Amino acid sequence: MTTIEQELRDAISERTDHVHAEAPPEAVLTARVGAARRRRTQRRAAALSAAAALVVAVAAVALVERGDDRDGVVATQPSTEVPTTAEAEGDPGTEVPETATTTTAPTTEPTTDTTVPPGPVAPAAGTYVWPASPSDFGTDPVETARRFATTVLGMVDVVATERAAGPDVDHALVDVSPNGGTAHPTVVRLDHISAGPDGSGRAWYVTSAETDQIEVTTPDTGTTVRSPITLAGTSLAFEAQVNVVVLPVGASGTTTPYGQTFVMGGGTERAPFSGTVAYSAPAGTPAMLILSEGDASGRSRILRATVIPIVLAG
Amino acid sequence: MLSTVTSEPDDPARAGDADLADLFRTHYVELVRLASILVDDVGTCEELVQDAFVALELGRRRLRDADAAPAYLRSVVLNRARSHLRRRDRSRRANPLRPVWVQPADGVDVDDLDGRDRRRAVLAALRRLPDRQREVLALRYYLDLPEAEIARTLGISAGAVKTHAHRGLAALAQELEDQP
Repeated sequence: MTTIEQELRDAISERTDHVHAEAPPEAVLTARVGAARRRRTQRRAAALSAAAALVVAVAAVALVERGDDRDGVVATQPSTEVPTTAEAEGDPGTEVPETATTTTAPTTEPTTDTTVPPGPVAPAAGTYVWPASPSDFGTDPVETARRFATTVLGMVDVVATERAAGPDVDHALVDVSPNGGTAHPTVVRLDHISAGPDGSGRAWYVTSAETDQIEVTTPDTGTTVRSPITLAGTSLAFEAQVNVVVLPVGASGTTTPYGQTFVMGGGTERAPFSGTVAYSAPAGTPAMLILSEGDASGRSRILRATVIPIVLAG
Repeated sequence: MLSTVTSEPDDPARAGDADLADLFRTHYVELVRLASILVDDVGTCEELVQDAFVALELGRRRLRDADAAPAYLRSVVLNRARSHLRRRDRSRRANPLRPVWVQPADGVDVDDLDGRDRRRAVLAALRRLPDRQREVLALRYYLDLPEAEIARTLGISAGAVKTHAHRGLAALAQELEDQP
């Protein structure tokens, strides 16, 4: 054992020997478990209520649109809407209902035509990065993480492994490593929404990803930022270069970014980096900020990355 | 009553699984001490560990192998300690601590002050390491876990464990070299 190993063992031993803890009564744990179960039930009930409200809203919109079709949708569109060229020029290919000016009330249609299956509600902006739409969320966290790694990060031959435990039971951590698993893994964090009242029908999405070789301290996850975005953190990457891109939530890695740059951190040992990245995007756009190390071998586009959700203030 | 940590109660291979209360009694103190290597406040460490047991109880259906419960608990404790430290760091950046003078406590062996200072410096340097290196070293030098078990706990390869341990020790040695 080397000197530093012995010193470390002594330091840890001194610290742990001075921690005088004893397990509290079992009742304490039972009470905490009960409270956690109640909180989880309440969260699921809230999610179910939101899903039900969305279904009702979608069904109502569908019914209204059907009614509009029957009554003559062209006549009842809001006046601010710009007509299509075809409509304006009377393109014979565009069918205009003969009853466009009638005011007959819509008849009640069988609801089976407009009922949509209960679907998950999209998470709030700034809390997730991929995919964009709940309809694209995955049914399995590992597969969702693998798709994220290939689609967004451009990794090839990805080895994806779910960890024994995520931060808690409602989240998942999946290690993704490109090039047949030869690279140090990027940890993809996933959350899910449930379509069923009992938590069934989980749909997984990526909230963020991180490599411990690129630690970002600024900006914080989920914050609203203005252009240019200030960047800070520490990194250890090939030739010290960390590539930075700002992409729309749900975009693939080949999408034209809102902004991009690179910053310089450590090449042989971890070192601080700082810089800014300017972007051009509408205010309130949810986006993902990707700081990555490129794959020097050229097999994958990105070897490892830290990805955080942000909201662009315009 | 706390339930048994199994996913298939009628599986004979799992008949001997320890229940949560047993795990709680057996591993609680060890886990609090593990957390205390990374987090200063022991009360916070106890909270983190109790949360880990709650997570185990709520997630037992996802735990395919009941023998993995200790590794699961260690993993949750480390994850939560990491999250706590990040929240604390953000808070400290917003509200920097003012330095205070701490009077040495009664009963301190004044002859060993240099040794104590050195050990505290080592612990402080350990806490400044990147997450993975810090966790690998804590698991190796506190629990004496073999590489395969550390890899299982952290969800990384045995090779990555070696790399993190090597880099962590090198960084510690480098940092402490500059100190008296």
